[in-house]
Amino acid sequence: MKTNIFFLIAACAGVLISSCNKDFLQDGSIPADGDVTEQQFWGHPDWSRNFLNNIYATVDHRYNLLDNWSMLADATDEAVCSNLNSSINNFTNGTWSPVRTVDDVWTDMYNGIRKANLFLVKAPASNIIPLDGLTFEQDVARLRGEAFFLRAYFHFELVKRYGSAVIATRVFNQDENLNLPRNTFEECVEQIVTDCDSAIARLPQWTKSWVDARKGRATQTAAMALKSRILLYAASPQYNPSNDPAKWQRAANAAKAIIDLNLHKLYTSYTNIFQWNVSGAAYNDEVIFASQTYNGFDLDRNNAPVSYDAALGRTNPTQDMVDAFEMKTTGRLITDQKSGYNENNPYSGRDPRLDMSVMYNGQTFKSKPVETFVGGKDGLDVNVNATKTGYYLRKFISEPAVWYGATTTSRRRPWVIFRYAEILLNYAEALNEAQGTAALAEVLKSVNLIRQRSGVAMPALQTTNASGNGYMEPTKEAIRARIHNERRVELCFEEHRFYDVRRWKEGELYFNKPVTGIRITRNSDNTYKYDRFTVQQTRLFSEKNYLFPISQSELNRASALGQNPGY
Amino acid sequence: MKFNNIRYIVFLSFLFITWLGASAQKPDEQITIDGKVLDKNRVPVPGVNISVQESRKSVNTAADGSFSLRCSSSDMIIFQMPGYATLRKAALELDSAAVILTPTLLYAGDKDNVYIPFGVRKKREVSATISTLDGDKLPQLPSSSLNTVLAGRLPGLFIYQNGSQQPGYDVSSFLIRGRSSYNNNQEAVVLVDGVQRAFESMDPNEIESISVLKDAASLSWYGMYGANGIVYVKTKRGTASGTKVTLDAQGGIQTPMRIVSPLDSYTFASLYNEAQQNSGISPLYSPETLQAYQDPSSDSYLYPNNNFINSFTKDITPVQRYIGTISGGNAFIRYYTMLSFLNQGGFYKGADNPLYDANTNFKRYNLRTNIDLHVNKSLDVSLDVGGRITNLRFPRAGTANILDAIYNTPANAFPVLNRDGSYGGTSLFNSNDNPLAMLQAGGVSTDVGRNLLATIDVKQKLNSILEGLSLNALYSYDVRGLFRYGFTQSYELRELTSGGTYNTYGTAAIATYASNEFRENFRNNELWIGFDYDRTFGDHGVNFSTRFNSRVATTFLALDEKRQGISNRLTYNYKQRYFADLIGSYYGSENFMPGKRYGFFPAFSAGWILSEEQFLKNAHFLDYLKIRGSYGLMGNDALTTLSRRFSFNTTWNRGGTGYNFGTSFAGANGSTERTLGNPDLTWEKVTKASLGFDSRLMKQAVTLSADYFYENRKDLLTASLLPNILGQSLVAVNEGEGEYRGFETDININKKIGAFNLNLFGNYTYTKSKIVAINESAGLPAYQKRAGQAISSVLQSGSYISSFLKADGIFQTQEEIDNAPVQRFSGTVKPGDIRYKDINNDNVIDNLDFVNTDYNFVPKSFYGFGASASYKSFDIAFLFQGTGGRTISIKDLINSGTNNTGYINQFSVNRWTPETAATAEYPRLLTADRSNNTQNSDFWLRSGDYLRLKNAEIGYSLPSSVISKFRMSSCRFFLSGLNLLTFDSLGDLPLDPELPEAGYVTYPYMRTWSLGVNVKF
Repeated sequence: MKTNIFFLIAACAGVLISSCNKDFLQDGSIPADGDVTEQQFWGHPDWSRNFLNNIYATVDHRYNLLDNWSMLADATDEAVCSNLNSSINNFTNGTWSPVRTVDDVWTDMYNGIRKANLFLVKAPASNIIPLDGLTFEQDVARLRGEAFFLRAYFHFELVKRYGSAVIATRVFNQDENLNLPRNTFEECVEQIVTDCDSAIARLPQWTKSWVDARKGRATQTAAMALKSRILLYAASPQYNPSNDPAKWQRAANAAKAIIDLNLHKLYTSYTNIFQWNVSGAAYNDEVIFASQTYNGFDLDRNNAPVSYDAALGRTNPTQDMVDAFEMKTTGRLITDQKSGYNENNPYSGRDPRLDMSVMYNGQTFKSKPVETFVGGKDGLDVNVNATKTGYYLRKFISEPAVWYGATTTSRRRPWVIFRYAEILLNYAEALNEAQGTAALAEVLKSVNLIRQRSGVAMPALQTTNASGNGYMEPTKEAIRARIHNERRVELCFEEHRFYDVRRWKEGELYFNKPVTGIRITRNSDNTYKYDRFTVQQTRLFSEKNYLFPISQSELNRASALGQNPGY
Repeated sequence: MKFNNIRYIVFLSFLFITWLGASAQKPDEQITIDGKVLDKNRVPVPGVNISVQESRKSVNTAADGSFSLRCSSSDMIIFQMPGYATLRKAALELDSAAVILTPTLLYAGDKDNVYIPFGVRKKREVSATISTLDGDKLPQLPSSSLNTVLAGRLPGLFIYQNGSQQPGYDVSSFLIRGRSSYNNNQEAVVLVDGVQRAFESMDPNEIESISVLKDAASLSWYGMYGANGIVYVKTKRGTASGTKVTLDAQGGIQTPMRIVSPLDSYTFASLYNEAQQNSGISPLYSPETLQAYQDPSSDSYLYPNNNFINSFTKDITPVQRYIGTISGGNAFIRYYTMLSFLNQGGFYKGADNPLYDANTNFKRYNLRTNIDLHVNKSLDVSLDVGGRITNLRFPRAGTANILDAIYNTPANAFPVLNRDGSYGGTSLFNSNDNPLAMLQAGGVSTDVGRNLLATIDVKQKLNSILEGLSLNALYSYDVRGLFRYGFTQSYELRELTSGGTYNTYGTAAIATYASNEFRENFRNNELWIGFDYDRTFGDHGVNFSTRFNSRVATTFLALDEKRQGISNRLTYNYKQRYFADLIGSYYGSENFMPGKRYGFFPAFSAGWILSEEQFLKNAHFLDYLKIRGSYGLMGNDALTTLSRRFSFNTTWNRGGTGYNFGTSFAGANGSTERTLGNPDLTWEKVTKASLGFDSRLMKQAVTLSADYFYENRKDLLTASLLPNILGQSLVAVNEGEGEYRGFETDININKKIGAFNLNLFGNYTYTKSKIVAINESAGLPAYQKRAGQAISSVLQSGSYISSFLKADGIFQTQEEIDNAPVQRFSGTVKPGDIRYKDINNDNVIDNLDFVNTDYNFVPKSFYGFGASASYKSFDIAFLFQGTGGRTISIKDLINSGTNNTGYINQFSVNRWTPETAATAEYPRLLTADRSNNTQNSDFWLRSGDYLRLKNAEIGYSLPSSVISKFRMSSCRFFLSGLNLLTFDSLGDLPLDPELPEAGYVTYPYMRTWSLGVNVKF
């Protein structure tokens, strides 16, 4: 009996121990956490298609650039961030350096570029099921066109910051030498233009060429707009010190190509370019390419005046910005004797875009007047988040958005990357630089389209009637000044000023001095007294700040990149 | 999978067969046993006292060693003879068999058992380094975590509190000997009865002993998962005796040890104004307002002056614990059962409303039944079932949010209640910052945890096949579940405006049942099966054990985690004086590429009892001396810095970030490539060496042990530093290396003078670590490199930091600033700002002036010492615990607060101003552009060394004349305390050196006093 039991036990034990087989452990062929293998991934029609969607995710809104919803505008003379500890100030307080970087997108952009390159290589061999009645080849070509555009855009994001970058047109391998030197600015520009051309050859013409479900994807005009912008940058003094007019002409041609398509036009409402909940505003004709819409109320909560349900009043436009808005009737700058500006009633009779871009004292917001006068509910120093300049941001902000209480209301806003107004301005600027007064009519036509958009209706610029409205001298320089100012006003807070001042080589002029605000005191008779003051904030700009520094940690990994001058 | 199932079926049928064998017994039959007692040379031993356990019946052996005794078949028979080890045998198994007595040797007595993995040895036989603490020596305290009472008691074991101390949490970590990895994966493994289980929520009364396995000889058995050291807990078992009942009742109080104190409204407001002025902003509070804060007669609704700490926290919280145990048995069945209850109150005040009380409360019920069946002469079966149910209640707003509101809301922020009786609030402190509303109207949550731990352990002797051979199988089945329920409720805060109306924030809603939430569900099965061979051939003793081990851990949303391997151990001794062990295990881990996942981990150890050699026989001061050493290899597959399982593969994510397209803005799915895998991933290779001695001196009054140890860890994970133009990150690579060395020592002195018993003990451990290799950027300056430095970091805001600026005091004058290098951390630098040293002499202070340091939150040395004494009915015991060479950061404490509070807190009083320049401790106050003064620098570092009276206990036992009347066998009253006294170098800082976050970010660290009674029947 006992022996029998033993044999049985021994046999059992034998089975147990021999089952110490390697099958017992998970072999990793089923990736944990629901992942799939490379083969499964590109063999699946949806996953391979969705990979492209993920590349788009690198393009995000810029409303919350650094901590506390600061915006790049806070790093220019357009605005100040009410959180004085925000790291957005590192741009301007003299501490910006390779070991203290801000908005350093080096890694993010190369991550995006890798994805685009992967898609370009993998898509033709994938099992993507074509849509919209296209053949597989046609749809893949279209998808690849999007990838070309995104690759170009990511390269542009690098070039506009760092001056140049390593061109990556293939998927890098971890085993190869990646310590590569940067390509020259010119090589980068040509690569971006080439990729734009590849995209143009493959993509639908413009937003409305896509079916509704696919609106928001890249288009020919998006690629053309990118081409227009990069060529404008390349022609500007920062990159064209010899002022070669051929470069300006090339930029003008790139902008003209979009205008000639006659597809995009200016939207009827300046405000609603960005307010996509408003009926008809979504994918309006003016927007050429935008990020996916930001849908929320934090943008409003962070920027509304502080008395509005514990808002945080973050981006505060400066007096310098406000001063750039012309007088509505005369079409003249307030510095002009003939402008009709009354400094004791400074907000009346101004360019309507002031109302749509800046919240000032007495303006109505959410059916209540904004009170930025000293002692007012939104006034200077009323609490730690109160405005530092006497103004709050109005552009992008939505009145229907509700951020407090049991029921919040989100509003949809895209981050507009290219819009038609910019193309018109690009064209006017490039043409003026390339041909001067010879192209005056063409230049004026372009700028005045913007000025006379419905709801803005500013007097047209003209060079003929010296005492008339909208007059400027018929010189290249005078026209340039007005185009620059038009650009400053029309595109305010949209991340243009930061780069425009740099490419115009005017950093020392605008960015190397403190910005100003307005201290408004209410008199006993309920009138106001307006005193300009200098915002207590260090604002430094030196030659090196024209370009971003390459971060030291990146240089430590890849010394061949080389640092930008001055850092 | 198929094999897996077969295995369980086979295992079950095996159990079934063993039960068939068991049914053959007939209990409680009167029998007569005859036999003969011999010594190991088979010479008869006369005069041996043979008794039946717990009865007066006894006989002595005759001159030829023979005896005859009448008893019941379930009795346990005890053989006692001076000079020989006491022997216990079941009566039934004595039938005409020869009984062999073995002579007693020092450290081979009944109480000298040392539990090694799947084996037990006498103390003298052990050549590994194992420190053991008897469960009886654990202090009797109503604490929700055993870790708190274990600190300082064992050499080489450092326990540090590193998380919330709120009831039911008591988060702490074990570190055994030192750190050889700069990655945070050196947490020791805890095994309870041989199986990986949570230990801290056991009741001390369940515990027989706690051993710390520290060297290669004991850890190589565990192959790939024991390298960080093992805490091996054995639970109590019954003895063959009459039924024993014990009852314990303890009631106590807990008091917060150190906690921040708030500023009054006036001080807060004036400091806030100062901070604003320093930042170039006009002051917020007018002189009239300041005046009103100072005037006690001003309207407290308009000028509130709250003390949230006093209003919402208790100075004293109650705690209770009750334990009952029943144990006993006979020759065939032994049992130990325990039931205990712990109830620990929270420290919030004002948290009750008619529907619920939201104050934190922790209730824990522990139960355990351990049963040993001696089925027959060759078959033993143990069935252990342990379990616990925990009920943790806390305010739904969450401990962190409530503590933040209590600790950090300024005194003048709002009236707690408005004039109209509504909860006060402001636009600045609006979301969740009225502590009263949060506690009283914010809902309540209760986490109910259920834990079942079951083990079956079968041992079949196979003497009929081979003398000394046995088969052993252990299977465990542990399940754990946790769900949360309670009430949700929301409230409205109101703020009076200048116009006399109220602004409201939030919406009031009545309490409703919160939906049930499953938070944890977990199952763990372990199987250990194999053979033991134990035999003595004259002077040669041989012991061999082999075990096949497999483990499956299951939880939701994950593939099962599995592990398997084979462990082997060969022990040899010669004359019970020379000992050698060979250990070898073969283990695999799922974390590595198939084909690269199994490793062999050998170790060797040896011991030599010198004191029994001729040349030391005459050294009378020396009763015992053993030298021992071990060397071996272990692995560690717990690569916690890996971002995902199976990171040897590159995988693709079906559900990456998507994007919204189209006029309906429908989210389009995204999918993406994961971090590139590393097919060469491998385990950490840990080599441990240990050399030491055990001794007993001065007529056995003093025991002294010491060990020198060294550990090297190769193949540590380190980042792969490729240029980012690659566009993708890589799983870390095994290119790092670290090491530590040090020593530990342990002394114990026992002295008995008449009725006075004294025991003194102490232990000390010192370690020193070094990073041998780590991937670092080529361009890093030498002083920022970590290679060659100690493995060290300071804990700050939950992250580990080793890179600091060197502070050089505070700037006193503008002239001093003008002559100093430019500091590039803030826009402006003014007198009152911290001055830093220019490390690289480039005349600019920036990130290049950070220096890698060896400041460390893990101490260089740690120690414990204490005493216990008894005199007649009185007894007293205490333990001191301390650390040396430890650093903590006070940066977050001094700068606590937010933009909204201007970072003004109780320490702001000691800030720099032109007037207080000479005595200022901290830089000037600022509300903006603060970055110069908030850099990580040694300005904020303080010594974290401390010496703490960790616990003390004084007891009185009733004399036997009294207790016998109540049929008790003992009755003891005692007063016990935890964290009673602390000596440190922190001065006035209200900060605990052991747990610097407690009391200003997290729940305070508590001092406990408890009064108890223990009754045994």
